[in-house]
Amino acid sequence: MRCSRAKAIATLTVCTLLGLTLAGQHRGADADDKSDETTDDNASVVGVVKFDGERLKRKPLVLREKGGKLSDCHILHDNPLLDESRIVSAKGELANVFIYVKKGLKKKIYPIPKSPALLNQEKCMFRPRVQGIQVGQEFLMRNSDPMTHNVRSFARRNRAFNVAQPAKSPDRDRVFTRGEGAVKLQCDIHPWMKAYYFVMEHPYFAVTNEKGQFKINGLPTGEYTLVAWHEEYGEQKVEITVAATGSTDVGFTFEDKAK
Amino acid sequence: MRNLVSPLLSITALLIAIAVGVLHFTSDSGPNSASNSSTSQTAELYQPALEHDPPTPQPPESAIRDFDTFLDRLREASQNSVTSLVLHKDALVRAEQVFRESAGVPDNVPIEMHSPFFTVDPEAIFALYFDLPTLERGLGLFQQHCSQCHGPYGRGNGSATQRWYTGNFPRNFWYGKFKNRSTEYGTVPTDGDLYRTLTRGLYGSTMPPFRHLSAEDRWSLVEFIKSLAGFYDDYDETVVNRFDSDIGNWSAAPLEIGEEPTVTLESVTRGRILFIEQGCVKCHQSNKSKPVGLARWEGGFDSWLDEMNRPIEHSRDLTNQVFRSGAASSDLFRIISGGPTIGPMPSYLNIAEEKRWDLVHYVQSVFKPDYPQAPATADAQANPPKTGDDNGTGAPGGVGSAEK
Repeated sequence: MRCSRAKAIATLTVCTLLGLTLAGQHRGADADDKSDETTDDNASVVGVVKFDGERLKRKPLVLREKGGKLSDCHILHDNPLLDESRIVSAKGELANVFIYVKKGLKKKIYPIPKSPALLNQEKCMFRPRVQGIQVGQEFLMRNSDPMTHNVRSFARRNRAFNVAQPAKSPDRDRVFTRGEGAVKLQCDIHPWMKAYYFVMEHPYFAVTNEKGQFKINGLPTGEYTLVAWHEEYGEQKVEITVAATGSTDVGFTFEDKAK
Repeated sequence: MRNLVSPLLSITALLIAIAVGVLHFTSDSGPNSASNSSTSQTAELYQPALEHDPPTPQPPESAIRDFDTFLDRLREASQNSVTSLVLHKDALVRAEQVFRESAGVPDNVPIEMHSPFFTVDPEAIFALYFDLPTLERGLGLFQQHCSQCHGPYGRGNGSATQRWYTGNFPRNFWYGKFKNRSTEYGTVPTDGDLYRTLTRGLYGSTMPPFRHLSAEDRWSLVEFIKSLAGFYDDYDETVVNRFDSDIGNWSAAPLEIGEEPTVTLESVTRGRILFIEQGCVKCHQSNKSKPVGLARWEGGFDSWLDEMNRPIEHSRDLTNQVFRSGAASSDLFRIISGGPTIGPMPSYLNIAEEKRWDLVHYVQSVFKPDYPQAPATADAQANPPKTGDDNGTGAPGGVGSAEK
């Protein structure tokens, strides 16, 4: 009985995956056929996100579990692990800012990326801390640590989930069906572990690097609302016009909310 | 003389009762002594009585029809002018302030994440109930029986929560998140799940059973509570209800609970190993010497919060047979599979069904004396958890303060 059920589930999964892949390819072809705008790969939106204010020193994280017990995680780190909620460079550039097009795109179905988005639990931190995932794209959660983690999502529009990942367990995967704003991920065993993701209905998004730089490629010409989001400093909007070629420069400057 | 007769009679009666009791006890403990002497013969003896729930009754047709009509009206109202369903900004600010003052949200915890749920105007929702007797009846019953804890609008901030000292706070129904479900993590419960919670109550918590209400009344309450699970979806700029299976993907068919395997020493031992491997010990344990010890962490930790960012005091103590949604095998299997959706407990749906049953057997063996007991030596078989913290530092409980 049980065996046959397992088989049935496996078959179903395989079929679903196949179906998804086929659907994805089909949609991809469709999108290519119907794209009437000239999508010039050279046209891009680039910019730097800055932080205006006192540069706070990154605090070392306290690696303790519930009850105050020292966590297993400290054996993985020789140096203290630093807080990643505000990473500002010496020049005042802000990392881990999520930039995406909010308004202005025509409704159409974009090809689903074939490579999965990966969330790695590495040395008791989530990597990357901020990322964008497309609707329909596979989202893999991997545990590279020798201890148990759990990944808990606070999704509102998609189904929320919470999975336990013991050491050496296989990657878990999810596929999101609806677009959604910043969703927090958290490990409840190691409370300092936090990450954020956006589920996007299009591929026009980017995350700033340590120099605060970002680049969004291939936007068709037009007028758009570009949004920049940071976990501590909130959200900012800017209206942009994208030309057929060349790069459009955009700048964001965040300030401390407390001010 | 006559005065002596009645005491004598009662003493005789008492003696007989004791004798019967002793006989009963000895016959009861028979399997126990057998279990100690031989483990091979005992497999059948450990088969638990059938503890599955009786099949949950279905809601009456009229209740289903009324709720569907409500959803139609909500969709229509949301499409035509969402503004009529959304609170005015001033009212929203006031609602959030009242909530913070009344519902135990700590001052340092941000409340912004709740805005989508506060934005919906409860009175505008109630206004959609006209001509729907089930929902109107539910509203009346709710004010009478539930609002003291769950608040007049079901936002989990009734007057009783101002001095709430009994552990977890009452649910905010606007989220559509419930612990006691037969469905997958992150989905809404079935009508039957809500009915079961209403009928049974939640053991060991403030939520009492409402068996004294008629079945019809309980179904009315179920439909009313479902109607509250609405929020303002700022992505689509609509007001949606989580129980609306046409929108979103929050509805799921109930998980099938198969036949429970026989309880054996092996299954309990496998359960004990899984309990360590799957990370259950991380929360349901306070003493390493017992994988299910006096099993709960308490206090001193700020990331265990419920759906309204109110503190969750501790994990469940698995040793005392008090479980919110019941201690029967099927109840434990359900909660291990689906997870409670609120709080830190994950869903274990991704491990094999047999393994989940092993976990159930192990957890039950802790409070059921007639179950075989897994040997502590089995713990060594659990893979890694390489802990750097107990290399001779003594009791884990004291490590925190000692290593600062």
